[in-house]
Amino acid sequence: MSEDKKVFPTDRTFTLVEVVEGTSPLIAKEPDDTVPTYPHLLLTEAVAALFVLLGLLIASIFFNAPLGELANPLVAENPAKAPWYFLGLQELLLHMHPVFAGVIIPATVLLGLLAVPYFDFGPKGEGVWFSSRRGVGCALLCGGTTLVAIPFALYLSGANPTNAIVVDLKTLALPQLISTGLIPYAAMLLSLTLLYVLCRRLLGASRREALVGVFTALVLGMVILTLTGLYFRGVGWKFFWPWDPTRLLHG
Amino acid sequence: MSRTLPGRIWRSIYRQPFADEEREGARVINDSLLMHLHPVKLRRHGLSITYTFGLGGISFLLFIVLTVTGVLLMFQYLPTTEQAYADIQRLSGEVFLGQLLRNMHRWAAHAMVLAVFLHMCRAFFTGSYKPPRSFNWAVGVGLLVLTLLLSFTGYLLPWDQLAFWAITVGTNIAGYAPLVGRALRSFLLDGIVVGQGALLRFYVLHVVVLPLVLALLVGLHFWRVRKDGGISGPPLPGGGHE
Ligand code: HEM
Repeated sequence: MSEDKKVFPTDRTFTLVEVVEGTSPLIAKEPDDTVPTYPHLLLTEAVAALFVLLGLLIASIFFNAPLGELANPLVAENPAKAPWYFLGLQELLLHMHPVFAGVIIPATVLLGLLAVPYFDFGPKGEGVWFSSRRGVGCALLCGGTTLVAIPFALYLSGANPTNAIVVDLKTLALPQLISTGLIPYAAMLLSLTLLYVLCRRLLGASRREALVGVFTALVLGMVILTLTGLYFRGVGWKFFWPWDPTRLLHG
Repeated sequence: MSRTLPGRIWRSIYRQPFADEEREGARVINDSLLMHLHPVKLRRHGLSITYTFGLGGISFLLFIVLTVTGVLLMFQYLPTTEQAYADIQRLSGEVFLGQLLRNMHRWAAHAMVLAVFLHMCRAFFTGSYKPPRSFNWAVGVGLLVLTLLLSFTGYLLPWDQLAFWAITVGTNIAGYAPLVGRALRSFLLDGIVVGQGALLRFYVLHVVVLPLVLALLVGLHFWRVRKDGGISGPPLPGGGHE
């Protein structure tokens, strides 16, 4: 007891229970920037939830979910479209070997996503959108390039009866898996690598900042392909303007 | 013990009166189930709407909406090639509020795919996948795949032309997988074409298997958010790091 008093001269109201590694909002309390969860967070959540539900209700009152004719295996839909979130893949399928468009590319994207934190693990840039000014620069550079390059490639392929972008890969004297599979796949990986290197060299970006650029390119690329499938493809999977009345002729 | 009945009911659920000061507010969290979802205090930064846009929470809310409307739809729907389409038609015509129910389920499903995708982009662009959150990012990738599969399996159920051909296109893509593709496709379809077998499989996956797995994974996801120190944020000015 007296020993205790010597070490802790005041009447302490706390006790050291355990030393934990890592952190919690309560560790670096200077200056204290925490707020109580109730009411702050709970009210924000409640209001946000009400808005989402309201929006959903209004949309559901005014717009009916589509319902086509009864399924008929003998009469193909033209165009037969996958659900919208797979339309990017369906667009790739037009230009590439199905093993690559349908399997290897999605698998690469998923594995890439899983791998990101194990290659970019430094704490720098956490908690800030795009990490830094330079991160924004990388996003703009890569995003801008994608916004120009992919529509341009689609335009070239649309002007070509074989859907080829530059050369018709199908005519190369190689197995299809290589000519329309491996070659465009490698070209894609190369473009992304090039964007990465460009961010690093040209903008002096860190690994994380350059990754922000590559991710932007990837996401925008998928968005563009998806929108193309959704609004610019019609009968026979040909290009149409979204407002062209002949675009979707069912049955 | 409260003297009024509403008061007694309130106290049976929450152990304290309606909270209007900070200490009481802390108990709202700490004494209830909310403790498992939220910390008592959080960094002001995590509250900022333009940081998370609440997208994870919105994804979760939509999942709940989908569960509720989905269960209600199940009361009106039989997954057979003879009955399914007629059931959906009946739902849109005769069933009280049936069309609204179906609309809500459909639009919430689209919205959830979008919200989950945007939530992933938010987590990426704010560097929220960095340690200690790397594993939760991986859980997130699993959630993204599950969300897509849930939506995809639901797409077939109305058994109309759109559904039939979309699933035909979609499962054809799966069929291209090297080595396992054909097996995967015939496992999904229970045959070589989209038919009764496929409808039943998609139905069971859609209403039982996938939602269950997704719910479990969401539980893990939320638990990890807490264990990883709450929402990510920039290093604290005092030199401490989160
Ligand atoms: C059903 C799908 C999902 C639900 C319901 C969900 C829910 C949530 C919620 C409520 C949070 C708390 C912060 C916030 O609202 O932003 C969160 C955080 C997080 N989620 Fe998700 N999520 C889902 C899918 C994903 C996906 C697809 C990813 C990424 C691939 C992901 C990665 C993360 C990460 C890394 C955090 C921590 C963020 C931080 O600390 O700033 N989640 N999630």
